[in-house]
Amino acid sequence: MVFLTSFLARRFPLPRAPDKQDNFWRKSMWLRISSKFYGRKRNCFGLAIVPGWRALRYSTRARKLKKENMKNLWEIRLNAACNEHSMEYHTFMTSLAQADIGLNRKVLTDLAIYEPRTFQSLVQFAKQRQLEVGLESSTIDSPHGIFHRGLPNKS
Amino acid sequence: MAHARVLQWATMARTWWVFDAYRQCPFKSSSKIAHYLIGKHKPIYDPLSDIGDHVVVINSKYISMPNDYWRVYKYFHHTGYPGGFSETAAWRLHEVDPTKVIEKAVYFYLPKNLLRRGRMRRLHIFPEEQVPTEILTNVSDQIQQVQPVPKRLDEYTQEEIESFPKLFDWPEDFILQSGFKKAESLMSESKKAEAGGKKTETGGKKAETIQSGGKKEAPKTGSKKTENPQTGSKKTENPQTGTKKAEPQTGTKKAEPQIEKADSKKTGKKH
Repeated sequence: MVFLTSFLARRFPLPRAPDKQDNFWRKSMWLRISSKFYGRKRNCFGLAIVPGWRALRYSTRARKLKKENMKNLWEIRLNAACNEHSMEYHTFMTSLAQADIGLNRKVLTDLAIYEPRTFQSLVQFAKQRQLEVGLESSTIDSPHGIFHRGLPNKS
Repeated sequence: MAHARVLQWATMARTWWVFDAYRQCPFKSSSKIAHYLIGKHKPIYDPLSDIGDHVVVINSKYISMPNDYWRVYKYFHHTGYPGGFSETAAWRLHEVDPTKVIEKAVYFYLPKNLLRRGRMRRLHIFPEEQVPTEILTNVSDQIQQVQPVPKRLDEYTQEEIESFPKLFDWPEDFILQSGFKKAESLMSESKKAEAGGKKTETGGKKAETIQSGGKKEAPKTGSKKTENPQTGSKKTENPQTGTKKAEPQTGTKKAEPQIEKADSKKTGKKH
């Protein structure tokens, strides 16, 4: 509990005895964690402390899970976006990585949603690269309304 | 600006897909149909947002189950009361309602959340190819089938069957005849026996040996063949009584359509 001004700190009722103040701050810390819980877990310290521990455990686990879930979601979206241009997701990502195009999944997903023509150009580049490597045969159709001189070559 | 706004509408619009379930596995196709019902084919996919498309499934009457799933695969139900358990085989459910098997397959495949019912509302299943025009006019694309449609033997022309490559011909002793072919061969042999006497005696014995443990027609026809060479002519003379003489003929005549029916039933179950 942070008091930005001494005025606010004085408004907060504290126990008179100084030895009881430590206990008060400890309880208020747990109640701050349980402030969004449902029912009496929100206000009663005895009920709040066990769900409070559990919430901290969940949040520790969730720090890792959030990254995994977002990665899965981006992969699903990119898979859909690649399939629209009849391209495999893994082929697409591999050919981008081999060509030193440093776009991660999040940026590619944003491009696929908000700038579909840009994404189509990237897919086209990946297809061209597959043709050059000769591992997979693919067909290229240029995006509608875009004029270009040619595809960039890796030096 | 209006143009950009309209483009956004097109992104959010629900498109309609058609899926031809003719001789397709309902379990494999359910995963594919659910993919479109959930909206996983769109770059704007989100697990909590309802962005799925409509799917029109046609020819659901002609789906094909793997292995002997028509008999083995069961649907369970319990009323909650003692003795309220019941199970229905897949073939039985398919008889009652030919759209039910694929509907249940998709329902089981969809994620179990509050969006499931709404997604099922966007699945339109029709047992035949006839679809109401107000639905068919919405359809803009089709979903690829999950497996190639198999071809029955009677759908091939005689030329295709003869030109099918084979390494060698099996010797005649190795070929076991059964079903319709067996009846055909028996018919032809009996005709031969009727036409000319002693040549078919050995053939008749062969037929007996092959058909040991088979159906009841075999010994009758065999006895008939063995009888004929003794008598020499077919109708005028018979060592046994007139009633017994009539039996083998009627027996064979009855047997032929039965075998044919059995064949058609088998093939009917397969596809």
